Amino acid sequence: MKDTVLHVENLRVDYDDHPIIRDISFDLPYMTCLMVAGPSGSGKSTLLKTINRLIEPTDGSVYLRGDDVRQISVPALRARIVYVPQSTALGPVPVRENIQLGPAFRGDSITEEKIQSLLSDVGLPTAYLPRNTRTLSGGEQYRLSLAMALSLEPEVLLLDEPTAHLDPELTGHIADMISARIQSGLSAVIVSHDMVLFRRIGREFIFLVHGRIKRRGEIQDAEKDADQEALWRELRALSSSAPTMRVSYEQ
Amino acid sequence: MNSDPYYEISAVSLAVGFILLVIPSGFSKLLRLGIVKDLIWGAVRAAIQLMIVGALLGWVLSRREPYIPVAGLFLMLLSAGINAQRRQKFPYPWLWLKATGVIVTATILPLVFILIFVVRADPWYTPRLMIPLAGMVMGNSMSAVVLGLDRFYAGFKDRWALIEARLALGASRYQACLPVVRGAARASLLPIINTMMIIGIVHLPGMIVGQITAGGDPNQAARYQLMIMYAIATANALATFGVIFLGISRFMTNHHQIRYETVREDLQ
Repeated sequence: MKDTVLHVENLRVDYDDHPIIRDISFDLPYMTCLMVAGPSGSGKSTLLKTINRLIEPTDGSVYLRGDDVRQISVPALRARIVYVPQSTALGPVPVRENIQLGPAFRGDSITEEKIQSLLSDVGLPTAYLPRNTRTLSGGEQYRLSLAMALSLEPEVLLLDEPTAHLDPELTGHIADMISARIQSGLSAVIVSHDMVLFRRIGREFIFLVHGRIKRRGEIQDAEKDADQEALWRELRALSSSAPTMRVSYEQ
Repeated sequence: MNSDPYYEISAVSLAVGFILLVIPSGFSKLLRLGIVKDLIWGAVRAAIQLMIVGALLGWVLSRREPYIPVAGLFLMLLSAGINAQRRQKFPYPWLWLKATGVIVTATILPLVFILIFVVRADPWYTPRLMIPLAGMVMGNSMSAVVLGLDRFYAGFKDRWALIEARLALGASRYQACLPVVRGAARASLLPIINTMMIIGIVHLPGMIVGQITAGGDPNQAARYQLMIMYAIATANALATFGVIFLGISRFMTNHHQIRYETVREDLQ
């Protein structure tokens, strides 16, 4: 358990008595990234939301550094395990105010220097700071959401399709940024079908079908065997049918 | 003080007043609005209701036992709670009881305050003062409950993704709902603010008119009106606060999670 930041045990979530995820167990070693893939409706987003208790599991447990997450106050837990949804939903306020939001919920403040550094980490110019979020593109809004999550300096980052709305160049930039963060202490669970992310930052993967883990393994090892072939094939199929990210503008 | 006599309206005189309705009826008929029956039925119904209330109030006001006006007050509050549920766009089981609780709290506090500290009624439950004042405050509390809850629900329905995103950043359920709460609170407080802005300029409200026509001193009537406006503003704020608390606990768990199933059932 010492090197495990997140331990997920027999997780099950039912909705209307219908199981959305079942028997999900995995360990997330410290400073690594677990990739989660699977077809639409396989329970990937539900899994992420259950890890930081946006959804209460019907059964099973999640441990953060050996502590049952139910023993941690929920707002404190969500500052340690931050979830970034696929569909961004930002308040119609300037970019700066959005970045200040997470620390403000905890009664903290964030320095101007830190705000600028976060913005540059996600590839947004600091000139955007006074701009209203409504004027940002979908990809820019997602990157701002990422900066907002990082402002909390989480131990675990849960990302839902982080590159779904980014071009290949920005995907590479975000992959590099997450990779650098992982090397300096962050751990992550990323839902994605993006092979760039799989190859560049993923260490292990799980593949969900109908809420269960159908396949799992280490990405580098698997690359050499037949299982890996099947994984890439399935990822390619999922990528080509992946829906476009939805961006909602708040009124 | 005004030395003019108090002009009583006899039943016959009231019937004469009914003649006035010939004009809106004729107007409705001329334009084929199809509401003549509703108009007449509304007028008759109002007459019956007010006659009963008048008789009932006459009896209540003549009694000296404190429990009678207090019981009457609670009956009025219960009826307001039930009405608040009926007028709700997104009603749910037992809302009437919770709405009654909110209306009771929102009404009683400013009402007792003005009776004891402003009017200095002795005893404070003097029916002639408490019942009509309670009626005015309560009616407004009920509207604030209906409006506040409607706006909160509509806001939640439109902006649940924003609320979820704020929760994901470590917001408590109250912090997460703040953008929706602000919209709902504004909506239910604006009517009384607007009324205070134009009172006496554009229209004379019921209380001032009532006191003056009953031969009261216009200065005193204005003071009573002001006092009731302040009480209504306070009651509206309390009702809005209470009803938003109700809405948050309906849609969110103590663990700062959205009750997705309840949201779907209530707002579909």
